[in-house]
Amino acid sequence: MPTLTINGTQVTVDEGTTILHAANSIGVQIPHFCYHPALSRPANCRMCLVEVKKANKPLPACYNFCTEGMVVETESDLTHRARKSVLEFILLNHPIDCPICDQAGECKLQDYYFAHSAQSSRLGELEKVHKVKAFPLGPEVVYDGERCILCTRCVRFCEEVTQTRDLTVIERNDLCEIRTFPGQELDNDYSLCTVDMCPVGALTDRNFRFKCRVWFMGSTPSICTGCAKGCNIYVDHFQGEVQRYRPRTNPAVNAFWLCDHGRRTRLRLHRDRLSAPSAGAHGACTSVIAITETVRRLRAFLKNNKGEQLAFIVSAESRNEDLLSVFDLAQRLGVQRCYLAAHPDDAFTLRRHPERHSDGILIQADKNPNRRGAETLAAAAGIALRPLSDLPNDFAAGDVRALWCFTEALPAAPELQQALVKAVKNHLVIYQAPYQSWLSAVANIALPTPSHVEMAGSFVNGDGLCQGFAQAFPAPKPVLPHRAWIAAIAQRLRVRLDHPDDAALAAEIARQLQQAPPTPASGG
Amino acid sequence: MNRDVLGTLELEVPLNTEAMILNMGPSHPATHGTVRFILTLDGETIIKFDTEIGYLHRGFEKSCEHATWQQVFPYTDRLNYVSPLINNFGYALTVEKLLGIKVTDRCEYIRTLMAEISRICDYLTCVGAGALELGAFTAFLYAIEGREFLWDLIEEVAGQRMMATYARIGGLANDLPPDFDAKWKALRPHLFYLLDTIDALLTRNRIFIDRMQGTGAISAQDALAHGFTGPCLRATGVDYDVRKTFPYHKYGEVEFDVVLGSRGDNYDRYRVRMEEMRQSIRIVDQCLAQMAPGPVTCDDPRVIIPPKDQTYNSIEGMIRHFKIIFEGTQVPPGEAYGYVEGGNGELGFYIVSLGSGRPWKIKVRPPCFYLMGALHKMVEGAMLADIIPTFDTINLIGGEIDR
Repeated sequence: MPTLTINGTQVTVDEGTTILHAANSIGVQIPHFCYHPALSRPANCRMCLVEVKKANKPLPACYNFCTEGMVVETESDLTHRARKSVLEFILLNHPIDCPICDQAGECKLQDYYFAHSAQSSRLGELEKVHKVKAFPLGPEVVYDGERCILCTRCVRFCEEVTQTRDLTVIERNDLCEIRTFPGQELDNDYSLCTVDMCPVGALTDRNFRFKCRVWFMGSTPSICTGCAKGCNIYVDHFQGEVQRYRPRTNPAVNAFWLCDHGRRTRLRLHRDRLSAPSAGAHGACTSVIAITETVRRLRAFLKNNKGEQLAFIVSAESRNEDLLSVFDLAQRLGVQRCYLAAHPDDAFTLRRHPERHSDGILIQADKNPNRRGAETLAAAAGIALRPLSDLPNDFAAGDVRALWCFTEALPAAPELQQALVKAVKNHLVIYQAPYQSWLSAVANIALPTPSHVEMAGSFVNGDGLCQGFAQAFPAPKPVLPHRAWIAAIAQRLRVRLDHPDDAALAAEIARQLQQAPPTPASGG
Repeated sequence: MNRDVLGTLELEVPLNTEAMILNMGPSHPATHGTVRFILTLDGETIIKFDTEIGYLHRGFEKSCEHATWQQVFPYTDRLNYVSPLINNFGYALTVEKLLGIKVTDRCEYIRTLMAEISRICDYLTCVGAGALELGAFTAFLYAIEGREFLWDLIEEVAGQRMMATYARIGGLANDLPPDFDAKWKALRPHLFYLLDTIDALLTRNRIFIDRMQGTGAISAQDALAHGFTGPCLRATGVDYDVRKTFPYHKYGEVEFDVVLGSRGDNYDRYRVRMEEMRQSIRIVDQCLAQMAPGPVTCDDPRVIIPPKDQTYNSIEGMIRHFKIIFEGTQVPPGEAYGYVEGGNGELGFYIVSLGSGRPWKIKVRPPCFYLMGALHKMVEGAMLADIIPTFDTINLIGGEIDR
């Protein structure tokens, strides 16, 4: 347990604590580029050099362990000089790219230069060394050699986290660049994490490059819906459009990472949206007409049939709040047949092992964010979730005579699709989901709902952890959450729901799951 | 002459009168600036005078909270838009106070002399427009001619005649043009000629004196109680001029007299302004004689954006420019009150920073707000026609009184 002095403050730390960690523990921030808490420490950027008394030169704080009686000065003249020199060196060949660089505004190099140096270069008229621009390293990542400061975070990430060893540093001195090994490309399932970790704008996301300046974007804490892992993310959005997903650090779930497949789920957020309600002969209509028509059709149906002949399709993708409302309604209407629609395990597979549905890092076989939530809440409501493949037969047997579908996540298998389209012919089909699908084409009534970034709510991940997410931006006007459609229709049907408002829902969810979702911290 | 049954003369019968409520403004030709007065009149005598400001409300203070410290300058231009440079400098001075930076000597000299030129513009407008509204159209033309020449000068310095945005935090947008000295020297005699002419037209003009002398008077005690500053306070005989009492910029190093009146009426306010213009010319002369060549911005790289050639040709300059423009100068947390002698008196800026690139709060002390607060005292009991000269010498500026 060495005791050392940092900027005049005594601090006792565990054996094997680095100076950087010790300083951090007393609120002293030491600037660094190459150091990353999840990776090894090569100490090659030299940005964290600090003055240590009795050492004959400044030492890298990320690499050196604290020793007994050490005296560290992070704001001394020597430290400041070291930082200025390092920054001047790093900037020697740095291109004048800020206006066209996606990193500008969240760039460590900008921040540190402005905070710790702000002095002019002594390079003068000398030409900078030019290197490769816009070099595609893989399907997701583009590399800019000139912006790269060679911190090797990306190289170490591929060695230590994914253990795929895709990247290396080639050449020597000021010709150094990051490259893949010959014949390979950066196509591991986590390649975009290198973009997050890159302290400058050297690595960029092909789907985000030049799309939106970072200072325009709002950032909302949310949950990735790619699989049952429930990775914590920030949804970065601008003018009601999601621009990118960024991992939100959570040691209990995803640490610092997020897989490429999860990030790609944002691409379908704004595609094929169900934008306005439609009801039978009315076509596209207002929500009031849609509700009236739904109630009329349901009344007519319930007059001639029993409630149990109405079937629900619920989703392993819906948030807990919506599921609870659906089960609530099911109980009131006497609906007994709830079929679970879910993304299949092969919704996406590993890039290098297409036969595998999961890896040991983040990607889960179950590609649904809330299967556990759906199962738990259904069980609590005394409803047995049935596989969707049973539905055509149940229609044929006359057990089901109308369908209310709460999801677009329907199986793509053509046999089931054809069977179901055939089965629902001449039956009432209410389709209530954020997106269009093959079922919405044959539905009598379509009611649009928000995507998960347009609502706050909670999911239960594969490990049974309930996690909350916040609303990034409101859905456009005629779009109402499942809960709101159900409440409006139930009211007109004179059906009293158990949990009429959001607070009652949240309390009931917390009770049934025996854990309350933590409210995610905003910002970031 | 007809007599009634009691034998009283018809003319002597007391008329059954009642007070008339008259609405003046908010868009009255004589209320330059949108302001509304609700007058209660007994004949031509004002019994009650209600002032209603707020017709010009852009939310200046709130807007500032969404701008970087630098982006506030154009807003300050639009406070007292007749002397915008003084507002620029007053705001810059306050932010510099919080930043703890010292601007260069040359910058302070330029700020001093440009503020005085701005002040002359302000007073010329006030005196000229005031005379115009009393029917003295000729005096107005002379005054505005002087202002035109001075605006030409300001345009050469700042690139804009009115909304100059000439100050920067830590300095100025640019140095004076090389021929500024010569141009000022050429303009100076003409300025004196114009002032003499206005003087000759107004100061001993019987009609003008009748309209101005003794009207709109306020005592020194009342003026102080209402928070008067500037020429309106000095006209009552109170010796308070921020430039003299709390010298800023280079006012401590130049000689000028504080002009005082004695009666606090419209005529005194007019005389104070006329004489102060001559004092301002004196200050400009001294500044030009005293100042030495040198930089006009401080050398703090975190406050001053680099020259364009550095921004475009070096990554260091580019980053500095980017950080200052996009995130704003990082002003340390704290609060400061900075005040200067504006066209109408003490113009104060109270600013609060939480350490970011944008102000947390900016509160302005607009001098004419306090003058307007006492306007009713100055005209109640007077004649309807006295409102015009009184309101003119009070010199309400709509942009400044933005509440």
